[in-house]
Amino acid sequence: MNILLAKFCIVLSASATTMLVNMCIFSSLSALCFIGFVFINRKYSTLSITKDEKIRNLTQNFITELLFSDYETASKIPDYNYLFKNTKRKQILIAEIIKLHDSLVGEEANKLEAFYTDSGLIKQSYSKVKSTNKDLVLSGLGELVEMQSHGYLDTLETLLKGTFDTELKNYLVTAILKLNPGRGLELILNSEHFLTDWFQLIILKELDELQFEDFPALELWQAKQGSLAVFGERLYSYKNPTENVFTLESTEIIPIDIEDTNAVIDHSPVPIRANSVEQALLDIYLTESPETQAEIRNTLILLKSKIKLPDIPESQQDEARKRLKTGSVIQKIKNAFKPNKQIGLYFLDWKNKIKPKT
Amino acid sequence: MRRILELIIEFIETGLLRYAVILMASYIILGLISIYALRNYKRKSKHVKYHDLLPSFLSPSISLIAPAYNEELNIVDNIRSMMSLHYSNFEVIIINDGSKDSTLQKAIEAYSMVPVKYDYTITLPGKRIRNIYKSTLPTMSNLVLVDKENGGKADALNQGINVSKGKYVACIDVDCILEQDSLLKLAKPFLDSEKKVIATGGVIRIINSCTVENGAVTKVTVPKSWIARMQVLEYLRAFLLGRMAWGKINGLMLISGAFGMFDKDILFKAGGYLTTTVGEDMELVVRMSRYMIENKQPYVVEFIPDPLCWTEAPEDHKILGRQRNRWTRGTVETLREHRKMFFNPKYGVLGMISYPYWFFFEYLAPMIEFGGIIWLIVASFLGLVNWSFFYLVSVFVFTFVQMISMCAIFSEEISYQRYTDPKDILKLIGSAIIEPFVYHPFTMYSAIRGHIDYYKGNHTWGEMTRKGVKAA
Repeated sequence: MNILLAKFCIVLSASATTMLVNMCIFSSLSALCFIGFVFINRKYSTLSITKDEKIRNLTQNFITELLFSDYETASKIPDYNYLFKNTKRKQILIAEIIKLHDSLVGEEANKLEAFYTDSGLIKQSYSKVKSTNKDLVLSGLGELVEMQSHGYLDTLETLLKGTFDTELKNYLVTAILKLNPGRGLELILNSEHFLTDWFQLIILKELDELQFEDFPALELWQAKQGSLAVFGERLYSYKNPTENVFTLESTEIIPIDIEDTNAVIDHSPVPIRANSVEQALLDIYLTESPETQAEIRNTLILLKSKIKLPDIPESQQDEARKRLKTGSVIQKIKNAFKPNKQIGLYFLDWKNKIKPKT
Repeated sequence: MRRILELIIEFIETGLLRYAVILMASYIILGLISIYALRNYKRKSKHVKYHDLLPSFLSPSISLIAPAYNEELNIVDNIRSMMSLHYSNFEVIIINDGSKDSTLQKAIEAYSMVPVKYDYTITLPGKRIRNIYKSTLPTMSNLVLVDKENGGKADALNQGINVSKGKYVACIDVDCILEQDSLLKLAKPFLDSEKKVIATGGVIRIINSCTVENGAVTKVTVPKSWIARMQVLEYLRAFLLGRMAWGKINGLMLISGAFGMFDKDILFKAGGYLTTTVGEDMELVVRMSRYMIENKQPYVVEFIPDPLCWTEAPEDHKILGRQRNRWTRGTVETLREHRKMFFNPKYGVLGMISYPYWFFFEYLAPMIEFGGIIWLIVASFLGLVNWSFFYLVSVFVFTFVQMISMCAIFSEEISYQRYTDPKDILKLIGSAIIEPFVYHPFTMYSAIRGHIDYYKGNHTWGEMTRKGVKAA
């Protein structure tokens, strides 16, 4: 410490000229280092690309052999041992297999999966998942998921429980869901971490592709808070639009007093972003088609709302009012509300708690 | 008397020295933060599968708003470029801001557009909308053309936002070329953050001398023109070293008007674009941030280093001068409009770091630099200059500037390597060496002119003619 302090004092007491000269040398050397790195990196990249290209070509030949014969035959090709000689080559092999697997289905895809497991490449992915380097973990996760390695579900679940990193949790839970949607949804439901909109949409898309519809009950999601509650709503809105949450009859909606409905919003068990029903309708209005907008406009008339909507010619309003009957309004509003589960939940809540059907 | 003179000299010299030291230190700190943030972003984005969501019906709705004024030469191609973006849930809104040429007719004819009755609410101020057109072509159903009275860029953007139906609005210059996946990349921070993201911006790159095929940049090269080439370097420094760092510490005050995305709800609440400034892009970001802080809502303005948007840089010194003049006036207007934030702890990083930085090192810099030159001339006449020390300081400043420029090139190398030809790197190095002697004095002169014009009451945009991009 004393030495450091002494050195600091020397620097301070050094003449301005010497300091300036030192700083000139420092900045010149830094500039040279930066630019030197750029050119070394270019040179290294070129060499590396050429070398990798050679391995990639061999890999592709091997995979072609594998797809058109079997593992036994393919493993006899002269380059087989070369490809498995070190981690880097194995990594290139895994990358090529995954790239191909992504575009294959059926028997060919199964062949690749079997090879990935039998050849021990799966162990390389697994070791990455067990690494402490997050980058490697995510890379390994991607490989296991793409190759449908169901055998590692427990490991992934253990990892999920053992980490506090929200981003990693999101990746893990998505990976588990891709391998086993039911288990993934259960884990999401029982977790408390923040599920970002990005991961929510990826999960919904995944479920859509898998045509998986065996979701935990809506009430369980409603009991959650924050991002999980929103996810639950989305899950039911997007994946099960026919869910019978809109059970209002036309006669029920007509007498709604706007103040009553706003009170319901205030006491709603689910988070409702809009401050009022009118605001919620207005929010939807701005993003809907002209047809649905006409329906919303008329519903607001039924609600005796004084909210100012975008102007349309008076004649058009009258025409719409004449044309639409209350029943059809409700039906169309239901359709309009499909993407917005919150409003649906509001109506459900209104029906069950405020004006129970007798 | 002599003592007083000596004191004045000492005050000026130590003041200038301290200013320079703090400025250089801030460059080093920003550079270090940027490199860290850049590496972090690259690491994270390596595992993001953008293509998972690109075609998805679940992706959030985005309105791409592009004001056009006298763009008859390029409007048809520019619309085609925007319509070909890879995203499933977006609309393109072109605002014809009272063009005097045939911009409107060209767009109508090329895309079979017809006037329609269109529901929208005038929430933000703007000049009267004459008509709204939609395309009758099935593939262009998400194209909307708004014809309005001339009111300037901010006014046109406000009307575009009024008409828009997306949850997020992306405001762009109509002549920019976007990367195919730019919308999702810019929208991702809105979806993938625990805090409320109110705006996002990406890196703007120079398109001069690059090759464009079917509305996309296919070959990237350093511009042939020296003026444009130096702007490449300048943009690399500004975006990869500057804004990246400001974004990291959540102190970003500017998202380029060429391409930025905003949360429409917050944009409405903040009052939209201010129509009385020529620096509407910076002013909007500051006002939205102020809105969030004053309403005690945590927020983020995110910057992503992906090169998402390509724009044409001026190759003519007169046009460049007008552009820099306008940028300076925009900065002055914004800083004056929000002077309440200056060293105001209530505004956190924005008030205590970003605003003072902009004030001292953007607003005052040209004048201090100019003052320094005047002082050198006066001092040399008075025989007060220690010339050997002066040369040493000059060499140091030069080497320091080179270090920062090389660091910017290095950042480009570790991030995207868009300039694949090593000759391009050599050209950039050459530009970096010449820049302090030719380009920088000119931009400083234009900035001073900007200050003078501002105080004279000049609020005009200034004519910006463009050459157009090279199509393959």
